[in-house]
Amino acid sequence: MAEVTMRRVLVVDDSAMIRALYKQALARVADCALAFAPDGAQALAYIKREEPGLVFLDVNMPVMNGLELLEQLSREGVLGRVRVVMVTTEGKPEDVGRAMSLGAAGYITKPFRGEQLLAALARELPSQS
Amino acid sequence: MMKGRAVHPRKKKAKRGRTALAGARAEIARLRGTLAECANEALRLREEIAIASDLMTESRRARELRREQDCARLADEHAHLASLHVASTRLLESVERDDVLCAIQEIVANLIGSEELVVYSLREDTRMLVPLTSMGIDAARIGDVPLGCGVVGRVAESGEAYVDEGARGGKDVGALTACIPLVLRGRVLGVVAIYRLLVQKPALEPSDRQLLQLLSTHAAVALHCSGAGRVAQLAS
Repeated sequence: MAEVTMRRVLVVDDSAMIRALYKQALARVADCALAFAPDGAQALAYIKREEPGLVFLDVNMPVMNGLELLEQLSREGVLGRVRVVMVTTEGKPEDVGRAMSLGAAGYITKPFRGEQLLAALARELPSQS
Repeated sequence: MMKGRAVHPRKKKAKRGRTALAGARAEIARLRGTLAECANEALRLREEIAIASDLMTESRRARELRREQDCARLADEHAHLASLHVASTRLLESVERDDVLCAIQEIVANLIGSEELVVYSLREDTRMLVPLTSMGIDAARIGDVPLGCGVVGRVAESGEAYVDEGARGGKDVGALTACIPLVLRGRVLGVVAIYRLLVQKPALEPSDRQLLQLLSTHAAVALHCSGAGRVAQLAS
C-alpha cells in the first residue's frame, strides 16, 4: 500500500470563527494536515520549527500582522520553501500589490469560498500521493 | 422448289455476340444503378450515424455539465452551511457582551463582507437607539437614533429588516447596505446597521440574506444573555 505524504498547511488568523471555517473547507482533503496560529508571532515560531508547505495568512492580526510576518519570512529566505497565500478583507489593488511584492504566492479576499482555498492548495502545494 | 439462303455461321456468331454484349451492357448499367443506390444509402446511413454520434456526445456533454453544475451547487451549499454553522457557533459561544459584539463584527466583516457597521441597543424607556459598538464609521456620524426616525429607527420600530438590493461593493460612502433588527421573542432589542460593502464584494447574495437572518435572531439571543440591555441602561 502506497504511503501517503501529508501536505502540511498552517492557517494564521486571529478569528476562531475563520479558523473553524478553514477546518470545514479543508476537512475533505485527506492528505492535508492543518495547524493553526492566532497571530504572526506564533506563526513565525511554528514556521521556523515545522516548515509547513503552505501558509494561509491573514493581514489584520494582533502582535505581528500578516504583512510583517511575510516581510520577516522574506528576509530570512524562508519563502522559497514555504508558500504563503494571503487571505484578507483588504482587497484594494495596492494591498494585493504590496503582498505580492513581498513574496506572497497568492491572494484571496474575504469573504472567501472553500473552493478558493482548495484551488490555492492544489496550485501551491500539489498532492504527492 | 425454292432453296433458302443459308446464313453464314460467322454472321450468326457475330449476331449472338452483339446480343450478348448488349445484354452485358444493360446488366452493367443496371448494376451501376444499384451501386449508385447503395452509395446513396451508405451516405445516408453515415449521416444518420454521425447524427446519432453527435446526439450521444451532446448527451454525454450535457450529463457532464449537469454533474459539474451539481458539484458546484453542492460545494456552494456546503460552503454556505459551513458559514451558517460557524457564525451560529461563534455567537452562541460568546458569553460576555464585548465578545458578542466582536462576533457580530467578525461575521459581518468575514462572512458578509463589510467593515462598516454600528450595533445599536434599544432603550425602551427613552425610545432611543444607543450605539453599543461600531467599526469603520467616523465617530462624528454615530449618535443616538430616536425610534422610528430614519431607516435605522424605522427598522427598530417595525422589526422588519432593510436590505438595499442595489448595494455594490466599494461605492457610496456612508450608504446603508442593510439594517437588521435584533429580535428576541418578537421584541426588538436593537439593530445592526451595515454600511458600505468591501471593494471585492460585488453585491449581497441570497446566502448573505440567510446570514443576516441568523444574525437577527442569534445575535439577539447572545446579546440578551450577555446582559447588553442592562449595560445600555447603565451607560445612559
